[in-house]
Amino acid sequence: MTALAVELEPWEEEALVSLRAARTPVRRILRSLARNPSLLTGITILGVYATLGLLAWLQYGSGVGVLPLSFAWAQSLSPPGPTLAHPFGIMNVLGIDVANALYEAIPWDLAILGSILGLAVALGTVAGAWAGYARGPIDWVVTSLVDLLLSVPPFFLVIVLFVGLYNFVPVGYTLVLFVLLFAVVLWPYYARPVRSRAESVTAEPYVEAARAAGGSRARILTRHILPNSLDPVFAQIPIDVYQVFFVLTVFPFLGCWAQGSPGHAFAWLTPLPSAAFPEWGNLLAQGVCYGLQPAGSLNFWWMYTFPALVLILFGVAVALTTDGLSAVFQPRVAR
Amino acid sequence: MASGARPSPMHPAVGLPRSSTPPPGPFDWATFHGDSNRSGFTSVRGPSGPTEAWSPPQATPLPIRAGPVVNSTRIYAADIVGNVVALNRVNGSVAWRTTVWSAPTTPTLAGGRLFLGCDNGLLYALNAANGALLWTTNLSSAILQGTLDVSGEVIAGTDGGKLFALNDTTGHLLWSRTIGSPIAGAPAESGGVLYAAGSSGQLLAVNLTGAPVWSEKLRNVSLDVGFAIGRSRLFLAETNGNVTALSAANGSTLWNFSTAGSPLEGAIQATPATDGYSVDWIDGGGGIYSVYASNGTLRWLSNASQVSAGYPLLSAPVLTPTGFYVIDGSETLDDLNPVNGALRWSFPYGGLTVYSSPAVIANGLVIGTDDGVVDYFSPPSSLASWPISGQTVDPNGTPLANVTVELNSRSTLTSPDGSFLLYAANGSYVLLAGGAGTEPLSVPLTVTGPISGLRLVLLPLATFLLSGRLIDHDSGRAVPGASIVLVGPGGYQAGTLSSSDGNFSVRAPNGTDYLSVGGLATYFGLSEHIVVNGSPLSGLRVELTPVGLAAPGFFDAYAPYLLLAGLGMGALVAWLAEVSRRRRLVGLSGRILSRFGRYVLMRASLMPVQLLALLALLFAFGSFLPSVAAKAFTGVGSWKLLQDFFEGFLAFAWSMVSGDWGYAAYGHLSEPVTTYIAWWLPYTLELMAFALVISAALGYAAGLRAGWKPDGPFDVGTRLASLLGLLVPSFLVILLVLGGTYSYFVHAVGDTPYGITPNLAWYDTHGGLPPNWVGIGGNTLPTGFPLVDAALHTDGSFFAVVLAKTLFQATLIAIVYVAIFLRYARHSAAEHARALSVVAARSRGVPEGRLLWYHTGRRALPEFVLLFAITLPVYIGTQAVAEALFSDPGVGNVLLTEMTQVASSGFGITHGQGFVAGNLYQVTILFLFLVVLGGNLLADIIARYLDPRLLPEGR
Repeated sequence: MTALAVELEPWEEEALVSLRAARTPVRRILRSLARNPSLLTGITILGVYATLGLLAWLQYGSGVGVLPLSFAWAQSLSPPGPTLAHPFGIMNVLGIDVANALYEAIPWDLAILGSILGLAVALGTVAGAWAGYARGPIDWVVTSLVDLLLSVPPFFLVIVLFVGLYNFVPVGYTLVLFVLLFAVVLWPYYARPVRSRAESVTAEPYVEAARAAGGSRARILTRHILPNSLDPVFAQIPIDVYQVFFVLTVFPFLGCWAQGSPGHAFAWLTPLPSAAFPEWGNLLAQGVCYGLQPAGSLNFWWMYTFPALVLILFGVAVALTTDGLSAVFQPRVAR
Repeated sequence: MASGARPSPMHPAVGLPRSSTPPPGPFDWATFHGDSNRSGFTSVRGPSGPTEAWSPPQATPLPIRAGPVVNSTRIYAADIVGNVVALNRVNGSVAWRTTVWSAPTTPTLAGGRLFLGCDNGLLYALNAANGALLWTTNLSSAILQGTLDVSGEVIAGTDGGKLFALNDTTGHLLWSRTIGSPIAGAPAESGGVLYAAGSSGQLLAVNLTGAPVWSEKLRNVSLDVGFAIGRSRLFLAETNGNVTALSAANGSTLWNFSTAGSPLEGAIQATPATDGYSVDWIDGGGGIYSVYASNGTLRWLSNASQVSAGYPLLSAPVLTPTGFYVIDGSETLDDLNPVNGALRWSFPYGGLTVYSSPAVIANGLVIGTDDGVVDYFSPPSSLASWPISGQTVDPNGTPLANVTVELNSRSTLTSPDGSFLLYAANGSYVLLAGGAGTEPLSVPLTVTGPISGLRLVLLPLATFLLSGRLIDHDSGRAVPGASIVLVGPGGYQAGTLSSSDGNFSVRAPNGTDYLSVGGLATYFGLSEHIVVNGSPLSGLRVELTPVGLAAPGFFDAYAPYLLLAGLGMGALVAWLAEVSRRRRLVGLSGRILSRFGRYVLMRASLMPVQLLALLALLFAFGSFLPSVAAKAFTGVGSWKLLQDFFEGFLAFAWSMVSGDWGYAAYGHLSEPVTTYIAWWLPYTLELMAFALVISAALGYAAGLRAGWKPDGPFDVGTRLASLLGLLVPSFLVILLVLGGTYSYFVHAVGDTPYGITPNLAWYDTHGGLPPNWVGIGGNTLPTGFPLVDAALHTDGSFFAVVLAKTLFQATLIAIVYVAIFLRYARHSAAEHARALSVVAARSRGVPEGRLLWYHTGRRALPEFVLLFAITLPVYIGTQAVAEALFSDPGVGNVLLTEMTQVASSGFGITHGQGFVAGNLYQVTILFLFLVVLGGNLLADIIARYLDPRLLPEGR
């Protein structure tokens, strides 16, 4: 201690420590993680998914998109339910082990959802925050585009775009096209609320202050506007997990369902390269389709219950994480 | 993608039916067992005696065990270590030689490439012209028998039990399917379906995208060979000597022929040959069988060589209309009469083993032997394939390119210098030549040796003058400046523009011609069918329909009204300006409309813009891009593309906006699209009205209550429920609830929950027949809203059933949708619960219930209304799925059906009598879009009416 040092009261010392500790966003997040059980739980579950996904990827390598099929199972009229050897049971018709299929699907689903949401969130937040901050012609262009895209039901829109373009894409790359198109369809759902939030944040005194202090546009946008406009993003992410799985599930389901019911005329429509492709939505769709046959019977419950559980647990983890993150970024609305 | 649901890009949906690969000619034996059917049948006649065409050179020092493949110029063969040799077919000289270092199976020749699957698991693609390696792909397990090339995909089965499809240009993996046991036989293809068999009896049929068509398992069998296909039947020879016929459509067993007990019983290790009428094969005991393909009864059993070979008989026999060529157990090549099995001739190899499968071409048979020789049996007199070459010129001696020259059903196009080269065996033929703009020419030609220097002089096509006038259909005026294109037979094309007085003249050849008129933005294009019969035609009158407003007729008819409207608008603007001026004079703001009024005006004026953008989107992705994809960019310049786009869009947008939607086929119905919409839109709107009211009540109450005390038990419960509702797909929720309540519903209501109006079974107990105000589309009359119509006709029991079904379905939809809505609503309610006004009211002692439902509720309501509007598109998706599951005749169900249909069959394909797939789909989307747009507009206006602070800042 030098002579110039000011003696601090203990409470002042404590406040200073916590102030320093909270200065970097990483520390702030780490600190709030400890106080935020929902975030902790969410991230833990997602971590487990990611680890399993990595394992599956390492284990199956380039063959991760190809499920081992058993013709004996495929033909079986009474497929075996959960046993020790096949903990989630067997799905007939496709002839697959449900647990193995769900496991092989993890890297695919994480990649599909991660890319769609990553692209959509990045595009939506940046465009929204920029439009809300800059106003003028940029705002007008972004808002009109957003209004247009938002007025068409997302799952119609993605299929309309997909059907228009898939002829231009090599057979193996339709999934990539699907991911890109879905991101294009979903970004307005982030841009709209972020824009309106950014608009009000721009009017806040601290932004005024930052501008008066000579902060550059980019700095004000990234340091002040964006972090304070993220709240609606966190509310939207779980809903878009739903949107993506809706499309991935509904169309294979209708295609499959139509095969068993002569009254329907649905053709099989999916961006996946094959019917027995390891993807949760697809597995759930076919699980429901084959598991509830004949209609009304719940005999083969494992075919849809386990895919649904894997999907729900994942969605819960995403929701917990985003709820937790929302509390981190906006402590005032913390619960 | 779309497992089985997408058309292969190799088959253009629209366009000229031109096959990408020419039909096999008399000298083509391109793959194992001759064709992708693996039938081993060829319609040409093989050699009629054991005469060798040329003295066989030793092609390689090592045994040749894979079958050779042949085209019109070359024979390709490979030995057991991978030396590949191409011989000139005419004289046996070596064209090129290369090596692939591993034992290949019978190669496949397609598109100028030679594909060799090898036992080290590598698949090689060589340039058939020079043997250069194009690509190689490792399939990681031995390829045991031939490969296949279908529509740009190379197909191979491996010892590892996988079926692979590679891009034949790049060698990249397109897809693979696992069968589960080694694929010993060559995969076969018929009608776009691939068939492969695993050695322990797993049978798999997949389409060209790898999507399964069917799968079967034969019990207790062992297979060394793959399918031979003839007339939609699959024939499979089992190692134990049985032959089974299966249906190509579903894999069901049709018959089984057992050789057990026959004196000639033995293992079958060579694929049978079939022409679809009989199935012929040889077994290890030396027995040569022919059975009827239809029922599996024995046709004949040859004892030509009943010798049990000391080695497996692997050479797959070949069937022709006149001979059945087979390597028997005594190392002899036999030619049997296919009708009765009598021996025609034989060629003993005398101790030299032959495993190679023969290739049979016109008058010839090619086979490889264990001493490295490629034998070519063909009588020298008909060694055939003399080169016939020449040139096509016009009467002035100018060479004519792209003329089709045909000889003995082989044809070619002349190169830019007019030259052509064909091959023909000895004989008398008619040489045909013809091209665009020339008269067809036929020349008798007798071939006894090579012919060169033929000079074919083609006369210009005789054409006749067509002249006429373009007339505006509405006004009768001349239409100048339109482009007129005449397309005649044989690719003839001529074009002109109409003159300033609408006249045009163009030359047309004899026959049926098509006259297309277009190129004007103000008129719809038109295509007419004109038959020219040896004389000029004049005085043609072609009427063009003007496009909408731009047509002069419109202005003629409405000019006075337009003038009046213009004057009225001017007066209104002047009056408004005057009012504004007076307001400013007395110190008020100059704005006439209130902030709210201005908002409504601005918001409503956005709608046409959004509508136009949606139409552009529907046209671009729904009609334009698929048609571009179908044309596969042949000779379409970008400027032309742009022009096509705008012309097409104008016509499309006009027909959509004007209600000119054409006809559509849906299920067993074929009606104008307007009729479907009139029938079924009311259903959807009625169900929507119920579901939205229920959703609103549920969502408002639950959202407010949950946001009131964040993290309270109700909030946690709601959040959990909404999360579950979000993540469990709507159809699973609906199906589970349906499964659980079905019998109660039927018991209580007396009808199933399916549909909206009563099912036919219900009428049995209520008067027998539907009332006469229920139409053929299941629609009700006169309004189309079933509840309204039932009330109008005072049919109480009908009303009750419809109400019960509607409420049941609406509740299910609401449950699923509210889950989504709540995620938004909770946030907003939580913020409003903390508003200063609420806190102030609490401090004044207002009871909590009133604070919640009145104070907070009123604050949150405008935002709820907006959230409702935002989630409306999601809602529509949910209702569409519910309609599909309940088989409701609503537009949501129609849309889903059309979407999946269109995605699988492509847009713009004309079905049946000129029905256009896709228009019902586009119109339905347009309507749902209008519903969303109208809902959004309404919500925006209501929210701003309730909470004026949401209005944009006035300046």
